[in-house]
Amino acid sequence: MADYRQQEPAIRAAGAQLAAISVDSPEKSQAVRGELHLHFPILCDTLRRVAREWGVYNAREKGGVAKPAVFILDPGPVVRYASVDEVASRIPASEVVRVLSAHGHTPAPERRRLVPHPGNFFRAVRNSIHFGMREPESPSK
Amino acid sequence: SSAYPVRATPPQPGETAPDFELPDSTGAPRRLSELCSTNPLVLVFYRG
Repeated sequence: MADYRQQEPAIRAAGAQLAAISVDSPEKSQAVRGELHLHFPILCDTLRRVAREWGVYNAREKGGVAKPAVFILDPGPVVRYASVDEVASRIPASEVVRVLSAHGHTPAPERRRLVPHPGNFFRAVRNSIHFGMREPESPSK
Repeated sequence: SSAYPVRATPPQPGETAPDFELPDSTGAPRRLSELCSTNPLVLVFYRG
């Protein structure tokens, strides 16, 4: 979590928000926010409902916890990126920043590459008419 | 808590993830779809 705290400015600079989620109670989560100086919200899945519904539930540890996982969600919420680990570590926050930045700087397709220029269109029509009216060439001798 | 359906695999890129509403650490209700309504959201699951 400290890794994500350090990378939060870069995540915001890439145009995204940050939130964490665990099975801790609100009281415990607030204590964690204070201890780690976190500025983003921590959501409290005390009934383990979200962990189960999201396929990140680890029933074998501590009576049931979430696996370390990171999702990048676009409005919807539609998943853009998903990473789930079985051990305590998760992908570095710098990797999340890289994914966000790569997405943000993807150039939009240029219209002129998708729509034929009118001049080219009329030239093509004119050429097709021209070649269509040509006399067939006599076979070479 | 054990009555909630367990999904075998997490939602994959391109899929719509299950929406939910949970309290945050201050007790205020937070709905996922509202958290990412205008900007992308990085959602970090941790063990607790």
